[in-house]
Amino acid sequence: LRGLARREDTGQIKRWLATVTVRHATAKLRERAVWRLFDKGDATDYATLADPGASAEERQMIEDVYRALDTVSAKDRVAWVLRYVEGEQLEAVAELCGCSLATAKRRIATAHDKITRHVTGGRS
Amino acid sequence: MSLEQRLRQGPLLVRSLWTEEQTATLPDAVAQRQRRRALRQRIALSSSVATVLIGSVVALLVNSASVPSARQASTSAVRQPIPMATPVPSAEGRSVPAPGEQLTLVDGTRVTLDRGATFDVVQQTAQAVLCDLASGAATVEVIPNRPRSFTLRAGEVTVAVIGTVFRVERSAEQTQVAVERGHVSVSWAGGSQELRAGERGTFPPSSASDSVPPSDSDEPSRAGDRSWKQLAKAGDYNAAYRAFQQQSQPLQRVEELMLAADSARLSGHATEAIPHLSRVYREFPRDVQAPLAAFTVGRILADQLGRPMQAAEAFRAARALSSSGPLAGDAMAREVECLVQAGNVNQARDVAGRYLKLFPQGRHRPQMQKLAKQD
Repeated sequence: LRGLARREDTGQIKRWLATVTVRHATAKLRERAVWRLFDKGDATDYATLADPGASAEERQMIEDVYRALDTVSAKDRVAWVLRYVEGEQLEAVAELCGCSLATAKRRIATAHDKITRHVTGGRS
Repeated sequence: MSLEQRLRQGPLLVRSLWTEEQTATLPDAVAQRQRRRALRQRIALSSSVATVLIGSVVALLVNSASVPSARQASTSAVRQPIPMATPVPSAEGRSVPAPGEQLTLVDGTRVTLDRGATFDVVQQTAQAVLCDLASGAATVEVIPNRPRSFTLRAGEVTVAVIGTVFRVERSAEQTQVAVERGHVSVSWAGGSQELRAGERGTFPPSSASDSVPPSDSDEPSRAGDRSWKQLAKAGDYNAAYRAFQQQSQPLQRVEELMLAADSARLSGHATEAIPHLSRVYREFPRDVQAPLAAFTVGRILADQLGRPMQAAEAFRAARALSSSGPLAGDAMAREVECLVQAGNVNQARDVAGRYLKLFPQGRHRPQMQKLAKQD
């Protein structure tokens, strides 16, 4: 919270909040992955993830994507979500993930490949 | 629509858990939360400080309330009169009740101070209680048949109590002792006197004529050596020593030996005091003066003659003669000190270990612990 006190405008606050959220989300995803090894993970209700304004087709797609994301490593997943769910630019993804642009691209590509194969049933 | 096609249109429409409004109000919310946290911290800090303060005040009150009981002493029998020539070792702790206060000990012993009196409880062990009347007057009522001796010092005069009621009044030079009930033993540099119920006396006597009534030691049959004793009792040790040198009568009693030793020691002839004192504790080991004589020999050897090994033996004899007496702890500590000075550290460490077992609350405990722990 000391970091927040130094931010003056909303843009800076959002950026600070995003950085904190990314770190926190990455840690939580890793923790969840460990619990899943022992079959102790919380069951996720994927049907509730979609925005109320999303179409039925998009709801299904989001559900499938998030099922696929559960098979992706935490770092790759966060990078992909930032890019394709939050709509961040690649540079912003790299900054938020604390990695280089090339690494961010590689993480997104890795996650995308897994998600695509999962959603299409391995057909692509 | 495939995933690739959908993603080209824009981000997936996942439900957002965060709104722009929350972002805008976040700083205020955080600031409010920080203020609440700071307030909680201040309250916690204030509570801690208040708790510590209240605890300190309670501890002080409890401590001050328990001071009288901490001074509890009970007496039954005089262990030994304590001549000023060999003062009792220093105090375990000092405390001064208010003038005019009546100090009632748990076992019933009462000390009533006159206004303006200054009274200290100097030493307290399971075996002895030593008090000091620095000025003014006090009436002491001691419950008899207790295992602990009660000794009161008033300047040069020491009153050892056997279970009695007595009054002590101290002036600049002398101390008046009056016994109401029971009897006490009064000692001063160069002499001692027992007072029984109804008797009173002023000590030390300012001259031979003012001295206490003659004791058995001054009976007419022994008139030849009366002069040096009277001089010693009057505190003129130089003259007493010179007079003693002229007499040839052998000393046969403890009182004579102690007086001769005091005359020699206090006139600057410490070495010559040793034979008299040694006779006391070797020939009369059961006498109440015996431990004191051995302790005094140890002090002379250690402090004046620089013979620590022999001093250690004398201190060992002192504590052997009175293992539970008031001198035992100090004798043991002095023995350790002398053994260290003599270079016998291993033996000193052994004795220090025994001291810690015998006197776990003794006033020499820190030094003994330090020595016992040394490798």
